[in-house]
Amino acid sequence: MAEPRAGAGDDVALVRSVAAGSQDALAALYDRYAEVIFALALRTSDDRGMAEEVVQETFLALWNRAELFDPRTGSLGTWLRSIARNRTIDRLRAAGRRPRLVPLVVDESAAGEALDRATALGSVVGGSTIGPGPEQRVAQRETREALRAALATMPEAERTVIVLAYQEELTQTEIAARLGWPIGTVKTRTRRALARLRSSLGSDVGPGDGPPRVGVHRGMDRHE
Amino acid sequence: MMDHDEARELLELAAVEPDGFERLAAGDTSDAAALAGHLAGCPTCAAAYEALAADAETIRTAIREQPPADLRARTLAFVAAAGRPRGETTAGPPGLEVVPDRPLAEAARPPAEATPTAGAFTRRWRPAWLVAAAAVVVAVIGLGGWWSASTALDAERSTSADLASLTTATLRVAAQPDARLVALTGTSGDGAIQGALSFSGATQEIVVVAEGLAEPAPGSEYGCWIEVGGVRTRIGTMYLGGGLAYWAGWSDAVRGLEAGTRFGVSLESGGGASGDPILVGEL
Repeated sequence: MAEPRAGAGDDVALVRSVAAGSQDALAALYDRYAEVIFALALRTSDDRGMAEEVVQETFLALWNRAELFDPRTGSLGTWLRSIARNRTIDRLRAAGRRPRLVPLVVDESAAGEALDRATALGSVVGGSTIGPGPEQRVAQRETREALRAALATMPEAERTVIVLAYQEELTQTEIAARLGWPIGTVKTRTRRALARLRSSLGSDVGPGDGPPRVGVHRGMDRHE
Repeated sequence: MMDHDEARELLELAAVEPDGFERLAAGDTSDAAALAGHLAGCPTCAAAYEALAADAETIRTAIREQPPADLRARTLAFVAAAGRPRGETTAGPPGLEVVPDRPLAEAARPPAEATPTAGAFTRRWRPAWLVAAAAVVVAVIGLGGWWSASTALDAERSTSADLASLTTATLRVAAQPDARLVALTGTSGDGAIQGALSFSGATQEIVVVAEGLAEPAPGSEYGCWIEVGGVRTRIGTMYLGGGLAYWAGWSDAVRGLEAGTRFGVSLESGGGASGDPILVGEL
């Protein structure tokens, strides 16, 4: 999970501004933490719609209760994740579902603290892995930032197909139907987008390290 | 015989299809069978496949976990519509400590881990209270639905936001399988003071609403507490607004209730819980 790079002092100043009614400060904190919160909620719920609602509720809670954030007891990220996690679990329980196990530790600075608190509460009855180590988290963050940059700079048409494929889990046939594009066009753009993203990871994507040569399209659609 | 380019193309398209690699691995189409044959005899393409699979998983996860671009605007609009009133011109708090006179301050504590205990409680939430709470919220929001810099209106808007939070807490408790409602009765015996408490032992969340409590004298407040075995533990301070007294928060005391456990409200002047009960209910 990509951790925000903002300093704790910046966070405290922004939370103070939120408490004073600054929507700009709230927007800045959204930019810092929304992705982390969304990812946590999505991993816990496996439901994009629910994850979006949890993000909205978490920032509503931040707005309504900004005075209650105490930087002496933990980072803002930890506080927001705690809210998001509880909101997600509330929603899952209301829907009669169980949360998925996610790593206990998602914030290096609060690693021991989080585990101690969970153990003290008697709430740890099972768990997944402890989560990646510091080096892995740095690598994950760099990977995410590289992918985000590649995604942001690629042609709109290519970004559209790759986002539909990975976020909405549409087949190429479904993407073609939704966008009204020929299936061959969708496949060409999909491969180019994938090549750009792999290049951003430093992978050798073939001769020239650029978008692949696109030949005859063969069947890879769900029903073929 | 499938050549290298054809194999790479199949693999790349599979990398972005839902369960694409799994369907290829099933080998139940002519393309999949041809690809399997090619990979078996081509170490270069087999290695490329492994690298592609790893990259695809990384990319899939990263893109999937990105919030949609429009969520930012939706979230900020949602907060603007549903959030408590705050003004840019309002001086910010001196620090980030809990503001003592902030209604529902206790409600901000994240709920404890819920571990539902089957069969512990059977009485369910009565929707009449929910309707009543919602009606109060709507009424108060209606009163405070226009902007003004006046102190009185700010207070009204603050109260409306608190009551909205109270309703949210009520809904959260009501959603729990073990939610219970307890009638609170005034000790004066004349029926002038009454209330209700809803709680969940699973989440330890409690919501209290009462009516008939007069504004306390300066220096006094309505403390709410839980009494177990004759020992009281103060859990919060009742706030007044919208014609109601209310409190919402969490207490471990409702997790595993002992017989004879009581909830009560008393008028306190020193932050304790030793005053004579004004409102009580058996949990």
